[in-house]
Amino acid sequence: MILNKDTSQLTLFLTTACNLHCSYCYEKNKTNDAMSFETAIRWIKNGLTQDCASFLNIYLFGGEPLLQFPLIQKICDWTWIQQWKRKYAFIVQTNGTLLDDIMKEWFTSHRNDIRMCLSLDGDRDTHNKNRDNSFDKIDLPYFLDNWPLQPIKMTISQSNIDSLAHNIIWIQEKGFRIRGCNFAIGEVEYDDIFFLRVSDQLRQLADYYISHPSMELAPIINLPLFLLSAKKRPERISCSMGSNKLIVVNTDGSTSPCSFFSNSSINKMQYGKLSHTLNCINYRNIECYKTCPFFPICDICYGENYNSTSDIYKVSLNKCRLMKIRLAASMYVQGSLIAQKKKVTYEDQLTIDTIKKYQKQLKIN
Amino acid sequence: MEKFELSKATMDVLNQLSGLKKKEQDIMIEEWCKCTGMD
Repeated sequence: MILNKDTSQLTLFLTTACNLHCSYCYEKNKTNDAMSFETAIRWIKNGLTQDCASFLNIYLFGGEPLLQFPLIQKICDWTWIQQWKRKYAFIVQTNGTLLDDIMKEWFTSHRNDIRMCLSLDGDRDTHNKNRDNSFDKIDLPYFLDNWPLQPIKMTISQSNIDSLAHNIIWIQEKGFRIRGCNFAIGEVEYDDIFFLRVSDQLRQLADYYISHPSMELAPIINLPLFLLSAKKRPERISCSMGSNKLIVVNTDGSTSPCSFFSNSSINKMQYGKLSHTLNCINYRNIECYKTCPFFPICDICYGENYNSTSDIYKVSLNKCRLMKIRLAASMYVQGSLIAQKKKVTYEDQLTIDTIKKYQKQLKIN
Repeated sequence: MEKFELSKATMDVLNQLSGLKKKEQDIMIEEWCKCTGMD
């Protein structure tokens, strides 16, 4: 999750209950608890009265937040009638299966003030396998018609690695943008065959984009290579966990540093052991911070680290290997696309510099 | 050939392109972040 200095995020777990049982869900501690209206508006007020110029994205999260549709309406109606200095927007992260005509009418009438981010893993077969046979319950045209620019959230699981390229292309050819193509944390089995399969898929995907240069690159092979050659090279762009730009509020009003460490994902005993560390996150403690030239653009996830190595600052070798495949694929596709252009931008030139400097270090067979 | 190795022909084109004069200002990281947004 990349949050820049102009954007902050407030995530409200309206409920941890869900009507689906997705194969890779990391929220193992679901309950039927719901956030109270008073808790929600307390945190919204806290966020919107801060003397801060940055835009605030208010994520309504779950479980499945549409299970609390009346609460969503109440929260939004209350927020919208107030006068706030700070600019904001509501975003609902949803599985899309509970939208009835009443909800659709309300969301459509407020579509400029509240967006829906749909979780969609691919075509019917893939989505059904991952997400509890729910494909046919989703009105895909509704999402496209109302929020055509809103990217969807895609998860890649063990069972659909070999259709990764197909599913990304399928989603994009339907007209959707993709926000993230993340491998399910704790669900994927990393072995040599896995990495071969992923490499094959990313090569297929890259070749598709090379022959369809007007398509937007999916994030999985659109790493910002140019940043590695920029004069003002950032130290790190991934994950704002531990900063004041990301606040996650559980149903009971307590806070967590990110959704992976929320009450629904990690039990209290585990959290208790980690709380001191989580209260003073410093990305410079990540062990490869000083040694890896790709660190600035690596999407290291503290939650993923913890799941793999029991240490939020220790990146697993598998994650590292996967990132290197993505880097190599990004260099291949971006370099090929730049070579097709008649006119290149300065950003393209920085990308070329990165490719020339680092490609040989990333030998992927 | 490695899976993601760019061909010599492509690299020749990229080498020619990278020699162009830099007319634009260096891209500020903040500007890039604004473009990407967080969604």
